[in-house]
Amino acid sequence: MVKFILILIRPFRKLLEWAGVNYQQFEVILGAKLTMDNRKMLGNSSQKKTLKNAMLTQVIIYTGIGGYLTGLLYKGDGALFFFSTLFFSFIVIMVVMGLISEFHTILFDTRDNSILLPRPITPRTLLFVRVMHIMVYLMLISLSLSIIPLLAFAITYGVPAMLLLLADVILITVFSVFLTNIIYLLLMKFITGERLKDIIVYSQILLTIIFMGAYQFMPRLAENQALITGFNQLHWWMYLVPPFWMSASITPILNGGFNLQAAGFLFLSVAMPLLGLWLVSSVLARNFNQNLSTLDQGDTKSEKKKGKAETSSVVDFLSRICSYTIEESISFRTIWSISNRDRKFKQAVYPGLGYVFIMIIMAFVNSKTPLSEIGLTKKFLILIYAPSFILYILVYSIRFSDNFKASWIYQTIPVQRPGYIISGAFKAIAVQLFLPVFMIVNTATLYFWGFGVLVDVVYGFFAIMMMTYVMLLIQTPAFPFSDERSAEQSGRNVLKAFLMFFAIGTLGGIHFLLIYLKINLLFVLPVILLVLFLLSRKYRLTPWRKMIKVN
Amino acid sequence: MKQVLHNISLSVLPGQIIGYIGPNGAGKSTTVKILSGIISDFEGEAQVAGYDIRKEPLKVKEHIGYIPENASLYETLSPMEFLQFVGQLHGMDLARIEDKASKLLGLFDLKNNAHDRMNTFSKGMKQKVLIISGIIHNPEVIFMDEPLDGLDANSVIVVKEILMQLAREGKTIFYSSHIMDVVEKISDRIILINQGIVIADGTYAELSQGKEVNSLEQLFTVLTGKSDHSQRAGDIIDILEQ
Repeated sequence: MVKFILILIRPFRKLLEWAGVNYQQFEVILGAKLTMDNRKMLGNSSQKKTLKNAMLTQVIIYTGIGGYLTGLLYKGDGALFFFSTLFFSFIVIMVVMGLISEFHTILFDTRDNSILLPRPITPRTLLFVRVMHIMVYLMLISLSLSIIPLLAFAITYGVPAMLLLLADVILITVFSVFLTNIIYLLLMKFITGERLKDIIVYSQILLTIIFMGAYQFMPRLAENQALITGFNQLHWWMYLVPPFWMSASITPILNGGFNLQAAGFLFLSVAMPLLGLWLVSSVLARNFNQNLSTLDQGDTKSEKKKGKAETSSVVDFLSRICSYTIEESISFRTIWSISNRDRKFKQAVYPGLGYVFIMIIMAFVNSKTPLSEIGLTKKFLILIYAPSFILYILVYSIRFSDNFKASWIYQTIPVQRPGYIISGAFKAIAVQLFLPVFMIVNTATLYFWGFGVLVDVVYGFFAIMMMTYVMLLIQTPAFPFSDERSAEQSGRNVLKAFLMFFAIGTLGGIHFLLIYLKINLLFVLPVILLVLFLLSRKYRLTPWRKMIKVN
Repeated sequence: MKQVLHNISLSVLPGQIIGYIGPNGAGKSTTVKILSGIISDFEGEAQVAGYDIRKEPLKVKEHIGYIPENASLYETLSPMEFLQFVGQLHGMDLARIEDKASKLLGLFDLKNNAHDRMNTFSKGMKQKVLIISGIIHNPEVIFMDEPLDGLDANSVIVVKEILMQLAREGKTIFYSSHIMDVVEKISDRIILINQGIVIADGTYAELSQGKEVNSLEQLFTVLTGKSDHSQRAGDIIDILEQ
């Protein structure tokens, strides 16, 4: 695969040499970089487990996504403009997202500073390696996404149309690189080092949520006939939105009716990416590299974050009311601070918070009941139980960290029962991340259904907690942030996710059944509380022999 | 930009081993990074192997080898792949690199690991690969930043011997380290910096003359003005026992 890519680039040798690149070094560095990419799953921080052919795996996955998209949206002649706009938008999103979320590990590869800088390589060569490395990676994404759409085009419109689409895909990819470069440069202009990494993580989280939302909304878009016909009108603002350049020029070419407007779009679709490419390689990339080399010099400025004093008194209070033992409250406070600061933890957990809201919105958008009559339904059960999704993500993620080696500390402390630690840790993240979402969502419940459902909310809360303790008790306990994420674990995730949805469904079902049988929840609540008390006690008293040995 | 170094002025002759020492944060790594072309944003003048580092950085880089402190290398590659990579960047041809690399890896007891990915390696094993990668192109000047970190005792002896033999052949070695007894043993000349300023420069014999010290370690504490060790240790113990 790597060899193949290098051969594909070889025709550009003369051009690159003309631009001042030492081609032999260029190929050696690019080859090494691609080999390394190929051995690890991009975006996966796990260093231990490496893959044989990560690139090919990625190509297959993206081809599948492209196929899914085509199957969903491609309707042949009638909706060509609609389809191509969405398709090009999707490529822009995927490329920008890929560049921001996955590629930053390579862009910010500070090992380069000590490995490459002392070698006799010109900055120009290094610059072109970086640009080409990004291009290869992104072309891989956008072209594999396009395989199925290209085939569909070839069948409907013939091979020349397919080649036209291919050219557009390449152009929009180039343009997206330009776009992302500008975003990065602006970010780096105003913020440095650690702050930048924070922002990257937050944008990753945001994009994941957008992606999950889009996945949910896309099928409904495809069914919306008004929207599809609405797409046949051209508006002035379409000149400002890059995907329209491609779609508004490709549609009249294939469907007939090419006019001055279409020519305008065609011009933009070719000229802007080329202009962008030139800007990236001449002006932007130079600044980019300069900024990059300052990144790992650390924040010597006054940017260091401190634990805020005023929040710590609140945390202090929370840790005391939630804990039975001193050890538990110590663990509560420590884990509270770590989970508040650890980027990887946020990255794993925050998208789940967003997803809860997407799930809830979807459930209500799909329903036929108008909002004014919603108070008559039993839909509040969705609002009560959907947030529990977060808890299960937390239960799963709490044990993982990039900094897992630091957990040696737990093995050395003289604590009678490790249960105190893991119980305090669980309570900290539940109070920090689950409780606020649950309260926000169920404020809405009380607003729409009135205080009559307060008992249901309270009952639901404790039922969820009870179920969570069951989940905690059936898995092998591990200290917080003590294990390394690895690719093979994600296989078991599917099963866990299934179990999780099953558990949420069961809880909601039981609740519904109780309402249906007209059993007063106040009679059941004491039972739930007793079981919850016993389960949490059992968890808190987890003995040493049950802990898994990691490290 | 913070000023780390102040008026560091040195000239080093071929065939010398320079022991570059100083407390944490004194500016040792910064000096090495400037001289090996990693930091280009500096004031003042620097020449390495007869070339101005600012005007002809590539010429300088062709003649130097750099061994960084924090075992940073591309861990998903194997030692052989990494050395091929580095060698090719210096314009060596593949057959010659392979020949040299396999012999060198053999001499460093890494023959059986030559084709394993380095992410499973211990710190010392990675350090050995780094050392080879810094000298495989036979540079005239070698910059080393804490090169013996993580190496076992046998390898330490081998590396020390290599350095002394290289110096005898006329190579210049700039050796930055915290390990005083190694510096004391191999250096022809010792340069001590503190807070970015050279506070001592000379052979061990010259520096220790007239002072009541019997090792470089003691000399170091005297020169950096931190000779109140027993007082401090006593204070620490007192706090522990409170």
